[in-house]
Amino acid sequence: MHSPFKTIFRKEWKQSSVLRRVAILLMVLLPPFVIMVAEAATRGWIPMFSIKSYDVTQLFMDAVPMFLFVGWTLFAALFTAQAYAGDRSTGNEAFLLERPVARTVTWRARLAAVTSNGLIMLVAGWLIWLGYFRVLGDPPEGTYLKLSGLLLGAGLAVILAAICGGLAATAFLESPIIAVLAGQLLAALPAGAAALLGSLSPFAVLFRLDHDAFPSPLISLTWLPVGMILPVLLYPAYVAVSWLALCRGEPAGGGSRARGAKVLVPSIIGVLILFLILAPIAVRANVNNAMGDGRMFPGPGAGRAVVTGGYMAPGGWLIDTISGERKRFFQVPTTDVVWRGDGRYLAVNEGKTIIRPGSWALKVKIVDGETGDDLLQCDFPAPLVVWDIAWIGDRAILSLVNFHTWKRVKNTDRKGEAFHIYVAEEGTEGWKDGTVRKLNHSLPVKGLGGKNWRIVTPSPDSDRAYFVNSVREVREVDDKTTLILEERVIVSELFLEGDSVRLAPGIEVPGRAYQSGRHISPGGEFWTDVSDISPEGKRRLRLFDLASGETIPLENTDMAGYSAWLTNGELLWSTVVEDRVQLHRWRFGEGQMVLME
Amino acid sequence: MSGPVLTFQKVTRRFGSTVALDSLDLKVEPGTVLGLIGRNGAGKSTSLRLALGHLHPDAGSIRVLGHDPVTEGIKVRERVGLMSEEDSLYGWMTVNEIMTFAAGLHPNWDPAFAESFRKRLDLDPAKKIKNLSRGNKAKVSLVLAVAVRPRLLLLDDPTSGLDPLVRREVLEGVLESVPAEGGAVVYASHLIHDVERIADQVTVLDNGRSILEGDLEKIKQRVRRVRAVFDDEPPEHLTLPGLVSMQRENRTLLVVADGANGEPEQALQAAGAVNVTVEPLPLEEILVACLKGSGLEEGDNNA
Repeated sequence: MHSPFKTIFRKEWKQSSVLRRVAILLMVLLPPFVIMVAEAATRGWIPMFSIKSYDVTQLFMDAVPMFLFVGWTLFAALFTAQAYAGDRSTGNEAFLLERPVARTVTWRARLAAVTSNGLIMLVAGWLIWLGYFRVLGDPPEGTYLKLSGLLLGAGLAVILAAICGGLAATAFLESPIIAVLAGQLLAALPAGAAALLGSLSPFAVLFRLDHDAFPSPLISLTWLPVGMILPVLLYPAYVAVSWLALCRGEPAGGGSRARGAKVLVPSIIGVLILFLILAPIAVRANVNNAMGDGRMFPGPGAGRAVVTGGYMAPGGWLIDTISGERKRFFQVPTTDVVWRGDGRYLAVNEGKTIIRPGSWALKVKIVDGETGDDLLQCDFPAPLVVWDIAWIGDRAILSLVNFHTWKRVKNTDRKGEAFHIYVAEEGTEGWKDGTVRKLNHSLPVKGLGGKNWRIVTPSPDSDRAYFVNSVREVREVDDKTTLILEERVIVSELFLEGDSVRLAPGIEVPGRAYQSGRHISPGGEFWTDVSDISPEGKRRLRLFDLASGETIPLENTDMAGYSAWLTNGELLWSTVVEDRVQLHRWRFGEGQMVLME
Repeated sequence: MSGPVLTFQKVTRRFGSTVALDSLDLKVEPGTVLGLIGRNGAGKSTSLRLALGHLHPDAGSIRVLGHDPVTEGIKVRERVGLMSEEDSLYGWMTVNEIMTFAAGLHPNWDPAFAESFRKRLDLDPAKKIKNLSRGNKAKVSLVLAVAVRPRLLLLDDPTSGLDPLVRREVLEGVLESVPAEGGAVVYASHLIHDVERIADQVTVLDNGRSILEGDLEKIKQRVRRVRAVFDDEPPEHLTLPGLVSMQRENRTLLVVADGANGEPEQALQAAGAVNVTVEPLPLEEILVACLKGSGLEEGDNNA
């Protein structure tokens, strides 16, 4: 007969029976109600909004689950508030305190009752949704399983979150109604913090989830930043807040709020501190982890290279290739790494901090290739995006685009206004008094957007640079279709004269300039293109003379996508001829020959 | 257990800047009914809540049946019954349900005694608590408090607001339920007549301090009213042993004093009173005099 846990559980269960029944009744009425509202909206009976049509299946895939989530959250908070604040607000708590029952037993029994109510509400809502859906809906094959799994999983998460929030709220508040509202806010706090911190630190990823492991056709998670994980720790902290406030100290309740606050406040601060500590560690760990699929920027001199995590983790290390020592870390996102020809310095477009990686463009650094020390930092205002970095001799040329201007200026001939060129150069004491200054230009920037113009150097140690402008002639077939009539590239040598940039007359060659392709020969005399597709549908290598713009005939160029210029001016490419792999070489004056077969 | 059922030693409890109990000493021996009397806010309920472990003392120590209620609250509440003036009963339960509920929470619940006591107090088991009269709610509280056969029964103004007939019923129930051997009751109330009816020991609290304590009958014998008539004006400055309060009416002094051996009368005669008469006082008037005056300490030689 004497069994406090069961006794209190039964009492809580009975006390919440009305609420439980109301919750289930509302869930039964919800789907027809949503359909009725949709139907009324199509007939124009709802003054606030109207819709042209609706799809019942779609309603069961979005609107009904959405309302279910809201209902689950609300009722979970109500159950929690009633269990933990109800007796205190009505003065009945004294009845239990007068009995020889440990407060922990009362607390656990209530938690068991609240959780049971939440689970029953979840399963009932899920079954009701599934029942209606199977009768009225017509989802694609296999969607039932995935959707119902998602609904159950997400439903359980929101219910547990609402219970945790309610627990924390009732540690401070005796009014159940206010506790419900406060509980909802507290439940939303970690979720909001997770969204915020997660968006602030997309590269501070602890581990990646295979999206196939997440049974949802609606959401795919491929990474999980620490900023999204850490706030979730607040939910167990909420439980601890409730337990300490209600089960420790004076049974009459003196000091309970202070005890709760002693856990809650440090927990919130702790999560933020933990984030600030863990995020940089996670960024580096993630970069290290992604180096297998990353990019390498070898220094032209011996002994140094920058290795990054590539697209997924675009931070990196400057590495001493002799000792293996990591000289310095480049924050994410590090998008451009360009070595000077002698390998002593490198220009890097580096992310600002882990907190704001959203700024992709705004900090270019000149770094000592030997020590990794920052020598010069170029900060640019927000609308500017770093487009290209190129070394011309000892000077770093930084080209930037202001996309606001780019979008605003409609006249194609004036698009160059959006294009800014800066030069970073050493002073009398080297980079100690180095400067960054803006250059005037009237570059004929044309094209439709994207990487249509670039400043490139033929080789890392070249003191020449070229302005490459891709141009397309198109015809709009209809609103959605554009036909490309012709693609060509205008290549002009670029000169820095005082505070200005001057272009030599350009040579037009057919084709397209690729972002990663090195088209120009080291001496600047020839241009390669791999955009041409043969009648057999194979990509072909083409070679042009930049002095005349004429094509230099080559043989066996199909599938020659991986061509490369050697520093001595030789062009190498491989191809397949009658099931045999051939390595070809072309040299000015000597022509083409097969090196290896 | 042969020691005191309840002991307070120099117990102090504050609520913010308010001192609810100020170095209070209290001792309840087995077999006694202690009346804890005082005005509202005197510290009666605080004392009981401290005894039950609901509140923790800021200073001093409390033992209840040999246990510390702060660290052994469960053990204390297993042996102590409380009937409170607060309406802590669940209104949505029936009498039967709340008895079953309480039974599940208490290891010492005596179902047979509880049932017989319920019948004795004429409580309908099917009736919801919220539909009961105030008197019947008090009876339910009493049943719940005594059905655990407590060694110590704490009553916190249990008859407040009840009509005389119900009050009598409840008080009789209290007396019936006290275990014949070793049980004790602490009856906290501001209704002096009720206390006078069942208590054999009394402690009067004022501002958290005990201003009068001891055996009820002895207090009534000790504290009396002395009427002294003088030929002329009574002396302005008069020092009397055991003085509780003094009132002047022309040539007459009305003195309430604590002195069973006649010291106040002798002192008044020595001061020139020509006629001194002594009359006994009911407990209520003793308390009123105590609360209006400077307070009393029980003198061992007067007891």
